[in-house]
Amino acid sequence: MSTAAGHVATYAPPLRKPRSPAMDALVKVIRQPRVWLAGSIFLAIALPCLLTLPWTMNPASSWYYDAQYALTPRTPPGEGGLLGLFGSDMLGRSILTRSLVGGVISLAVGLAAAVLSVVLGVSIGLLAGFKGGWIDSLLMRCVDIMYGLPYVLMIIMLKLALEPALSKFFSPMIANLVVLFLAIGLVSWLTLARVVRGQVLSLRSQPFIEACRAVGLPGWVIFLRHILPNLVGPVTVYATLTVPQAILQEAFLSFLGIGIRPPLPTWGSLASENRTAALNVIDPEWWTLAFPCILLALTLLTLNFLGDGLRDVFDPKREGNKL
Amino acid sequence: MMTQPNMMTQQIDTTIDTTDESIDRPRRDSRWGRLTGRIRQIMSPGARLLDLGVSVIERGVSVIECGTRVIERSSRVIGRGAGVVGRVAMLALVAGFVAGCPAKESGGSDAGAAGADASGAAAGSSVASTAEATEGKRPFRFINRGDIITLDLNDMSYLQDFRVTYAIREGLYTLDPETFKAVPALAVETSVSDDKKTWTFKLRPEAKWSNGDPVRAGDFVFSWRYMLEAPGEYAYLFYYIKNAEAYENSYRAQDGAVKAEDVGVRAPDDLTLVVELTNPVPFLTDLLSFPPFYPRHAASMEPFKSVDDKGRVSYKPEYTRPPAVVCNGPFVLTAWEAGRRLVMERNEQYWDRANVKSPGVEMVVNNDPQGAFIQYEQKQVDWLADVGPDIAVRLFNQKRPDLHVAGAFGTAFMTLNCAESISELPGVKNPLSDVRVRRALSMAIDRTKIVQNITRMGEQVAERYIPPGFFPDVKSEPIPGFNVENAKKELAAAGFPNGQGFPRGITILYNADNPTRTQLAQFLKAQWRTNLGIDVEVKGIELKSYRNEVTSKNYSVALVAWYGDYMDPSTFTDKYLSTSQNNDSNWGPAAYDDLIARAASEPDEAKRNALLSQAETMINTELPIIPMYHYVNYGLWHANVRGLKMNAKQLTVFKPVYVAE
Amino acid sequence: MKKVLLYRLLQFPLVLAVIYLLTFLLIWVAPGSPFASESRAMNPEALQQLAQRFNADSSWRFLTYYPVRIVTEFDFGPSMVKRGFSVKELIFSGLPISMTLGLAALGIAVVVGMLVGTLSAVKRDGILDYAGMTLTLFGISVPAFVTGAVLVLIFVAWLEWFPIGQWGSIKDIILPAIALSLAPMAYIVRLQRVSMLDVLGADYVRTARAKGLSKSRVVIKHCLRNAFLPVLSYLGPAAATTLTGSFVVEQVFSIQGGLGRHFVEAVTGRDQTMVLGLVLVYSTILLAMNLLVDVLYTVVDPRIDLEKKGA
Repeated sequence: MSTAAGHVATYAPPLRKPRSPAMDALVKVIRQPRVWLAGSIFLAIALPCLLTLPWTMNPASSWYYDAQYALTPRTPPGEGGLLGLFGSDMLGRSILTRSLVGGVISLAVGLAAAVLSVVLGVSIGLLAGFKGGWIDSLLMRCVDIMYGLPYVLMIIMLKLALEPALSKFFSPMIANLVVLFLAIGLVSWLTLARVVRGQVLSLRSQPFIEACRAVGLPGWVIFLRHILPNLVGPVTVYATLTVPQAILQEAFLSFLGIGIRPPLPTWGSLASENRTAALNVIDPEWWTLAFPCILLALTLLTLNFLGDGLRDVFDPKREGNKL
Repeated sequence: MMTQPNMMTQQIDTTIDTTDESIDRPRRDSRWGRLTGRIRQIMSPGARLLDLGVSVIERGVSVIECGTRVIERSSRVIGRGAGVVGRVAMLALVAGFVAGCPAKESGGSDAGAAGADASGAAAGSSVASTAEATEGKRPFRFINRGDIITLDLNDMSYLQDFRVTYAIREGLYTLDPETFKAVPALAVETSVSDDKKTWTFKLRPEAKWSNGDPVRAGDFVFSWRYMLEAPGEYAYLFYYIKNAEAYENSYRAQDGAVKAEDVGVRAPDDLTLVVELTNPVPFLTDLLSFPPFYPRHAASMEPFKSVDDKGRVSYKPEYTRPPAVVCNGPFVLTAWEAGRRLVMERNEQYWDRANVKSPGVEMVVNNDPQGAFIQYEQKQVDWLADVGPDIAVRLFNQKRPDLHVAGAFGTAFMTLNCAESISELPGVKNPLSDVRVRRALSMAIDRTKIVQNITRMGEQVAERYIPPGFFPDVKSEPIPGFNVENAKKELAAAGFPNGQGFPRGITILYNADNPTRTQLAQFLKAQWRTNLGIDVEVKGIELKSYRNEVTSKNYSVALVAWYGDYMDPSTFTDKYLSTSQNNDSNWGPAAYDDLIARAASEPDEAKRNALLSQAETMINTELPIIPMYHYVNYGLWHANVRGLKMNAKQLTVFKPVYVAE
Repeated sequence: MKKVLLYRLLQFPLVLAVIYLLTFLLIWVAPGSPFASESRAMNPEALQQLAQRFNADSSWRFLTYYPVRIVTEFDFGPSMVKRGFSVKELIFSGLPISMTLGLAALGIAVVVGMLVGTLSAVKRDGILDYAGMTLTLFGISVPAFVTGAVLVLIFVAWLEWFPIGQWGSIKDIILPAIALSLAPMAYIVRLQRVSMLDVLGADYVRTARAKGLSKSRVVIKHCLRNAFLPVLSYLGPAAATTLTGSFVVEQVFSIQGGLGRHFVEAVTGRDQTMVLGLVLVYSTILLAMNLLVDVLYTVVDPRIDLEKKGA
């Protein structure tokens, strides 16, 4: 838990020469191997996915993500040049190009969910924890209710309700994607809200908040300067956890057959559509699953480490937490 | 391999320690087993709760039936005056008790020892000892396709339900285990009137229900009438019987216009059943071997009777559960745990019990193809009725001798919505209403790629709607096959040269839980894009929504299938009558209806076949549907299984099946 | 304290009622019905008649008939898909399976998660930190259906160490419990590490170290308790989800009859009574867990007072 000591440290006069905040952050980042190591691995995966989009989304190109019979169906990796680097699936499509496009969509799903859940979760958690009383009760009961509702049913309903409406503005493919973003985002803020509330509850009873109040600081100042900074840690952790979680959530929906709409891939849907062929007792076509899964796992691992590192960089209490 | 049976029996020991039953049960001691049992008891999270629970609930409650029986009992106890609060508290206690029993072993307490022991090693069962010697020493065990949905004859529509019904019930006719043609079972003598519309059956006098009552003609009359009084999906098969449909509607409305006695099924005496038909039905015996036409035991269903506010009688489906259920098949249902397993034992009252070769049949549920296959490979089950496609393909390529494949009585096709305007293309004329577009779409599909790369089980590419080989006398013209040049010409003739101007929004709809269809839809999309230059959407949705869209004709292209119900071409052709509930294509010219109607009333076999051929030709050339391939059925069974045979309709005759040592 | 507890308990029925209502709305709006024909079409009147046999011909029944039955008889009605079985017996036959599995998984997750999380924090940036984090994080880096299937492939199919499709002995539970514990474990590790780091920087920890207490003693006696709070707040929902079963784990490990499968099958089959029954049971467990967590909060950290009104 945060402590008065940890908090006061931010107000202690700087011992070294003051630097510009940006510079300061940069130095801190460089000092954190977690951040730049994880960050560079992440970029090494994400950038190629993004940069190859002009080819992978072009139906005329042989790198098109749905170019069937571009390779012989079920070719193991290694044959067919660069296109066949990761092998091909049952329709003769390159696993490489599908993994590249899948990466972009997976990351977009994760990002959208994280943004939605941070916005909703933090504001509702703060409101509940800070205001307390009946507002707290009401909001937390709402969260309880949301938790209680069947998730799969909610996704189905959201998709059914939103898709026709969105199809009027976007192409059906985009509409499907947007609905997926919303559906996953709208159900992933609950945990964050509870955690933020818990944190605020505990902060509220800390001596330094009482001290602030005794000094006569207005509520919003206490809130902005003393409570919010102390939430950065848990919120970053949960937000970075939300990205992988949302990506996995999409995989689960694909597993149930209500995720992304084929032929558009995500890493999760690639894993799901190839799992019975790849994880077979007999004659497993391992490459159809292994490569998307390795990319997925690497990305999620680095995202998690990135979150850890970032927390250490931006957390006001980062100094001296060692025994 | 041997550890598993041991473990199973060991479970029984430890979990029932607190009850009397452990005394009756042969103990199977092994040091390992005792150790694991002890550890489990100590580690079981609700160990203390368990003791608590046992002290409250009567002794002798076996853990197996945790969910059901315990609750029934406890609510009976509570029923004696406790209020709602007590009830909730009791349930919490029960839940605790139940949670404290991680062991949910496969032996049923009341199920009798025989079918119960999952190891099968303890076959010294009470049943086997009292019965004549059977060839099979232990129950035949199989994994069905998914779990049982219902065993109520009225509502049955799933293959797995029919399969179990073949084991526990029997009708006038049954199936020959070799040829799968209908052969007399409860009927000993069948006579047909000259106009082929009145059939008279003499019943087997020695046939009995599992409770010892004789099977009477009245049981058929009761069962068939109830079929119409509370109709399900297969009630339509009864419409061949005089006044059946009218009675169904009249009974629903309770207007008394058509009385039960008016339906063309009568029992002049206990052993005579007279059936009057509206048309000659050459395949009637085939129908009679189908579960919806089986008799039911009215007296045993009486406790489950309920009458609704309109005065309509129905029976709660609980009547199909043991111990209430009374059967007349080679086996009787003795235990049924929803979602887990089903136990059937040899029916000692069955008239032909000498030819029932297995002491019992046990159905195990496993919904995961991989897990089910491992269970099969480890010989926990003898027969895997439903093999996951990815596994089947590999076994097929390995030419595994225990994989059995047979051409199926079913076709995979896509149905096209032929209406002039559809909701997906607002304000535009539906191009699919033009037969030239439909022909172009059909000719642009390379079907060999489907069977070689997607399904891969040696399926035949579809050249016609009706699967080949079943009706050699029905000779129809084939569908326009793969020909990109002609496809382009047809599309251009329809006004879309190279796909230009083809409206966007045509969507291939399918149920996304089906991996084969998922691949198929993507394949078709790519075929039409490359061969015709038209862009269609692919839309995989969840099963219930999919069915809803298709039956309400709210789609443009949908991937569907049709399996025949009986061995006659009309089971396929009737689907596209304009009046048929099953016709979801918005296609149905009067000429087609006329052909079918003429065929239905035609007593001459050759002329009837000619009419049906013409009807099928209409479908094959006008293409309200685009056939793609004909299914195959496949199953896995070990070499020591006798009496099973793969067949087109996925039927199972359990009588001759047993496991040889 | 007691007042708050009572207050929260009184809210239970209200929350459950709202959940019931919303769930009903969701299934009511969802396309398809449990009685829609599966392979051979039926005419609408016949479908209506079929629905009437299950007391589901009018949606009003779900607002009048069924709630009354649930409150007075504790009866959720018959399952509309698994015909012949009542929702109550299906749920209570699935609960022990899911509860055993869930408790085992939660136990593993908490023990391993707190251990690795604490070690990571104490040995910050050391090999233990990186290795432990990487290993546990792997659990949330790959979809559960992949890790589960890989475990089955290795330990069941190839090594034949564990059986599949059976339920009863410890051996049957180990593998699925591990698979089910991976996700909560990864969460707990991270939460524990973060909050431990916070605590380690606290004054009283320094004081404790300064007065000569050993490292391990400080960690165990002073830090663990305080670092436990964020983990605790996560345990509520985690317990509810793991206790009521995970569909994926049940599917991949061929565990039959658990609540996870019931849930997905009920939703996809539009088994209205079953969905309502399951949601009510699930919500009750969830509410109870959350309440328990709030109470434990005050036990672990006596400074938190549930009765305290807003700032």
